[in-house]
Amino acid sequence: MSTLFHLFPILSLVLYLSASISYGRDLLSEKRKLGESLGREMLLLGVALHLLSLLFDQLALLFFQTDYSREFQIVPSFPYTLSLISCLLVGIFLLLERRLDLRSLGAFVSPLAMMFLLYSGVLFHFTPEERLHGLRNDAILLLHISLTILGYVAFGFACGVSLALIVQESLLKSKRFSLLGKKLPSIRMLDRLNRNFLVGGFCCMFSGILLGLYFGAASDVSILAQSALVLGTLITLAIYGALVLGMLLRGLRGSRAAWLSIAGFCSLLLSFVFVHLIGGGYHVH
Amino acid sequence: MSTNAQQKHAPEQNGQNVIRLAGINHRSAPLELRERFAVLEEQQDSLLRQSLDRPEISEAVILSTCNRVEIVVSTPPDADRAFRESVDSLFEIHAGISRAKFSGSLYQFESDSAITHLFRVAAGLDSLVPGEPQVLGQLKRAYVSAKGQGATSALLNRLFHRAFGVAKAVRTNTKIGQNAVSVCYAAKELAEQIFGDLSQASVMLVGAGDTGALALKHFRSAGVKRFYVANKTLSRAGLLAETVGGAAIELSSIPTVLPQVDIIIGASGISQDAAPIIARAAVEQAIEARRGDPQFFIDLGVPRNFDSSIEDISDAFLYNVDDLQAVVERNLSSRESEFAAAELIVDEEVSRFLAWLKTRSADPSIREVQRQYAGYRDVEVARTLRRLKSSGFNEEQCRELEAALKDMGTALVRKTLHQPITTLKHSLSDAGALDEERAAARFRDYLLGSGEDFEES
Repeated sequence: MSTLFHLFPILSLVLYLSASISYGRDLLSEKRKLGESLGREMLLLGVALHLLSLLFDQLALLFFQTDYSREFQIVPSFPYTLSLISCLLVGIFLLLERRLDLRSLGAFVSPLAMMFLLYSGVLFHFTPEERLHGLRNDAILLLHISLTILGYVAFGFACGVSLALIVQESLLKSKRFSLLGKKLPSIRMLDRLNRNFLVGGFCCMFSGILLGLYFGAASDVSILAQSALVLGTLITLAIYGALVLGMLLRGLRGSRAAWLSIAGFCSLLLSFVFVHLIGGGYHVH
Repeated sequence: MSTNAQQKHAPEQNGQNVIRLAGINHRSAPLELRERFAVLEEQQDSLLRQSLDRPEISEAVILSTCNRVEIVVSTPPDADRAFRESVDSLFEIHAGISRAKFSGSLYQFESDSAITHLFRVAAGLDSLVPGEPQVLGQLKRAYVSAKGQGATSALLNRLFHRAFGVAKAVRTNTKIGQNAVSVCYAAKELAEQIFGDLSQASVMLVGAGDTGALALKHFRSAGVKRFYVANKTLSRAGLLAETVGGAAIELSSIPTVLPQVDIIIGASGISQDAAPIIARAAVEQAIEARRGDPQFFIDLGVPRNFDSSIEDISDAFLYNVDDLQAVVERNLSSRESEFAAAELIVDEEVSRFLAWLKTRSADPSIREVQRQYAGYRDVEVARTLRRLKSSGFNEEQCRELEAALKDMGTALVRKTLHQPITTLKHSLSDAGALDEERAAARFRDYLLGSGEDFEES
């Protein structure tokens, strides 16, 4: 049974890959319509299996708790966080896809989710104990984690939307009228989505980090011990803060905002990887 | 001009004339050259007059649209070189450039190829966007204008009426025009790529001509609710704005309104040397005021209405008529089957028109026969009246009977000649040039006898 559940993320990965190819084919092929392939169905199945595997991990911890794990918070580890972000990206996309007619964005979101899942190390086995960080149960800690993860997801969406916006704008500017341009959402729609995801993501991330700092101070966790985290986060937040302020106050839009959004997300990923893999403190798995 | 033209156009003189067509279009010449060739409404009469001043040109119609400038004329059959020389000279003066610069782009057709070309143009088969209907309206106006100037006669009148008939047949019998394909439709599609749902978008039209009106219609059907129409003549702008529930503004108010509108359509006729109606600086200010919200500029005017450097501004998208070529190419593939059906109609109509042209060689003979038979009728009516008078009918009764007898005589002549004339025309439509003369002579000899005059009989 356990082996079966460990196979689920691998199956999800294969399904995300297939969905990426299907969405990409629908988007790029002149002869195909959006939604003609089974991209959505593959994503649905993939995200269901993905969710089951995430639930199984949590249930395994509950069923096989040690005294140590009973006392301490089940804090998501680095791979688990990445996997959760991947699952949320797909889940939220599937919820928004039909409502906002964003089928074409599947070609941008699916590969992103696939990369997160791949990077989360699904191919490696982690014991439940490996997910514990020795932090006591705390609501603020959970809120900190949830908000930052939501921030990552929103920034991930903003990045996907920005890529689509850049493609659409370059098609229109270069005056290459193709079906690709007709299949992608309009520039105005992509711009609005980008702005909403960025503002939403920034609010989540900013409040999540504030809560993290508060939790650190309350738990006597030295900020200096988290210097790598602080530096990475500050750089990323500065980029996103400038971007959001530019959007709200100076009317920064279109491809310029999209490029900054992509740059911000790359920086976020770098700081995320750097903090979790190289940095010290509680953010390593 | 009118008197000279009418003298030139006497049917007897231009009975054997040949139809010729020369011009440039979007395929043969780039936009820059078409801009030089463009004939504004106020220049049309003068160019028409200059054309008719040429001895070899009997009739002329000038068509000038965004995508083509063409002159359709009737000339004597041997005027090939003279016509080319005239066209080169006319356009050289009008465009203000040496003929060497445009000779490679200028095409010339005569007889059946000229008729085919004109029919294809009228049906929208030669348009940038196949099947688009504006060109037919423009062709009709060009013809009406030329006719009003007395620049057309029997041959071109018949040709243009047939061209309008062909256009109608193509639109009725094929699906080529069913998908609202036009430059304006292509522009609307592009606008949807920028703004998505157009119900929240606003449109400003510069110019109040037909192309602009059609563009407004397309955008209104796409859900746009806010319109502005800017024009030199405010009353004309007002009339057009009223049809879409929009507001009319003066050209000087454009910079003020510009930041409020998403889509700006240029469809105004301006001279080649005039400054663009919307300059780059105005757009930069508008984009700044809109805080980066994109604007879409559709320049349907030739010469161009908007500063071409607008396309370098971030968040501003500028498309001119040539840029819409890509849209056309995409649509072309899906219209191939309709295109073939439309071409068949054109071919049939060209054959029919050519057949009619051949029958025109018999016109003098037919007119002569009709005149002779009318004479027989008058002689017989006079003879009958004399008899009636001698048998006791008074003057008043004879006058009443004369009208009735003439009507009867006319009807008899018409019925008697109907079959021979139909047979002659039918045989002429398949005959060669040499046979045409023989057939007409035989027709005349058969009906009139060998030179026998009715008065002698």
